[in-house]
Amino acid sequence: MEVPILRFGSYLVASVQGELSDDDLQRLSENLTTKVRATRSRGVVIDLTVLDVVDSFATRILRSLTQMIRLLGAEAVVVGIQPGVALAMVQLGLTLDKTPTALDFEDGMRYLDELLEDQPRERRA
Amino acid sequence: MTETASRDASKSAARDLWDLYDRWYGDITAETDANLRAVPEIAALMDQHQPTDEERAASRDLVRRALVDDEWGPHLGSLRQQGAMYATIGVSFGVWVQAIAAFRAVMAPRVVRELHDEPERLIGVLGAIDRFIDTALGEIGLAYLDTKEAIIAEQQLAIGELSTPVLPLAEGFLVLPLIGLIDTRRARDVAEQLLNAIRDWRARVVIIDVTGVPAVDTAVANHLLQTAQACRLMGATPILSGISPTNAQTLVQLGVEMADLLIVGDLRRAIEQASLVLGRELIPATAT
Repeated sequence: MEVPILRFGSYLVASVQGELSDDDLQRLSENLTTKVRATRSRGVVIDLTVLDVVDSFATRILRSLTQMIRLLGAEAVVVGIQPGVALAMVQLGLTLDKTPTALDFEDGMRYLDELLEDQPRERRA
Repeated sequence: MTETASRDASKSAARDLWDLYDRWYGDITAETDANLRAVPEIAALMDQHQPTDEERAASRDLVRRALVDDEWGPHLGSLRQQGAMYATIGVSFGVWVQAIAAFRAVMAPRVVRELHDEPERLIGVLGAIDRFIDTALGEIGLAYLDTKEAIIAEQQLAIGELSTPVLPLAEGFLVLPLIGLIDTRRARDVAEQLLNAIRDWRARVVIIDVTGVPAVDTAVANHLLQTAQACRLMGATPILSGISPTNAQTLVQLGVEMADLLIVGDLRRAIEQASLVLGRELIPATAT
């Protein structure tokens, strides 16, 4: 299932709508990085609220994706991981390491706002 | 000797034993009771409940059916029931061993005196006594184990129900005071509760306080780490507080690595730390 990427001010929102195959994840990774560059976004929210499972491949993609986005001069935050999913992930030994997380979309936006507040757009552009 | 022959021999020995037991019933019962009176715990029990004549007759009949008719079911069932009852009221298993030893001490010398001219029969009857006693003890032992296991299961349920409360202390801020021993099952329950609470209360900082945890091992430490990581996946910052000196020593000796976890000494400092993370004062500074 293709993940729609929405523009929200100077942010991008990748809102996962259903279970993702490995191909979907790969495509999301490519689309999102391209779009960050094209739209000169400063922040990206990746919303996983609907996911029931996050496996090791997805974890790896999410980790590398947030690193790539950082290299492109933007910040990414993963939001909406459900309690059961979080529990299953740590039991499988999967962590997102340095990838920032937030409870849901709203908290993710607030996180980006606070983070980018004191960084003038000009300097980052 | 074939198996059937050996079974026949043991059956006839059992009948032999019954004949003697039946003949001496009055004396044996009186003597055994006297011996048992010497044990304070049993004496107390006997004072509470003197078996009536009917009860004695009933149990005598059960013994007869076991020894003579080789019909052990009812006898064993009655033993099991008694065992379960005494286990429930807290009579120790040792009492049974003593009670049965008392019976053997009364029975065996009589049998030897009676049958010393007939060694074959003597050996048979002594063997029958051993089998009778072993079976009885085994059955009572099983009843004890079953009862105790049921009690343990009940207690575990009770402990599980002493659920660990997740306390919302301020907006976006939860405290999880852990008290008592943590095993895998409880750790899982606690983690689930905490993660659900993070979602429900929209928590951004979570203090896991282990002041009340008497002992830790690698498993417990791993559970704590996993819980903390899961909190982080949900966007909340975990703070661990209240590791006791003993626990700290154990953790270091076990080589548990907790480097990427925010750890503070006590709950008070944890709250201060939480204020820093949340970027606002949670508890007004007092003039101390």
